[in-house]
Amino acid sequence: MNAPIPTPALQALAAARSRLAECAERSTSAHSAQTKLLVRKSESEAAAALAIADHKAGSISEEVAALRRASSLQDAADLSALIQQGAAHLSKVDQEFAQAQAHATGAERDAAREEDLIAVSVLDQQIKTLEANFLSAMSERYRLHIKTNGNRGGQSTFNFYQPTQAMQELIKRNQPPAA
Amino acid sequence: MTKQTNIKRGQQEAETMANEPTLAHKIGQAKLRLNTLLLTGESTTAARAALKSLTDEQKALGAAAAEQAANQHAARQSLAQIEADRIANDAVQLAAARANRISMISQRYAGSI
Repeated sequence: MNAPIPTPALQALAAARSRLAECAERSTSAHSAQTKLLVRKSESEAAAALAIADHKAGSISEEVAALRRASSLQDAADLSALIQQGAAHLSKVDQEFAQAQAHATGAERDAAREEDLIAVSVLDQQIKTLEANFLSAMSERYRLHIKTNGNRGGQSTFNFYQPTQAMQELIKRNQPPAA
Repeated sequence: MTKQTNIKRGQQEAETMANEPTLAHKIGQAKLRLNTLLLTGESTTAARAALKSLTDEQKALGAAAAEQAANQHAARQSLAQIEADRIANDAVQLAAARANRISMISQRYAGSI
């Protein structure tokens, strides 16, 4: 059996899903990197505070404390700059992810609608076939009725077939049967 | 050349370049040799040889850069092609799943006559 040929809507859906997965991965990675930077900045700030605390506790000299604090604050400042740069990147990545999500949602909807229309076409054809088969069976049944009963009991199909209430509602009032 | 080979070759080249002295470094050394010869007043033959060596290194650098660019381009194209193939395959899978669902609808209401 040959592989089915994808419609443009399905091709668009596959591309949109792929793009969404790619953007989701990039977003996760960017958020993870940014979180690491934030953690490192907090650690640097904590180290700066610890230097002062250690000096107050008398475990290190003022010079050592000043050096450690300055070094830690410098690290924190460098990390702040990186975090700021990362925030702009993060915003761009998030925006791309949101766009990919919206695009994928649209593609899913388009593909679903296309499939519904195909199913409608298939069912319409099937209903016509079923009706033709039904009428054909009724015709044959009627022929046998006449053959077996002659004219006794009249020549109406009512003798051997009474449509259900649902069928009557459908034919007479165009009311759909309950699902 | 297959896509995978292109990618592998690009990776190998990058590793090789990272581990070996660069051509730019070799050019630097050749220039240094030439300058030394000129400053120390060595024979013109030696200076000419050093100049030729420098020219050769520069040519090699140009060729290597061109090859690297070509390889990178091929690798990028291969990756893009792999991605396009994967999406096309996904689309075929989606079409197959849809055909199956439509077929089930059709079978559910199919008359036996």
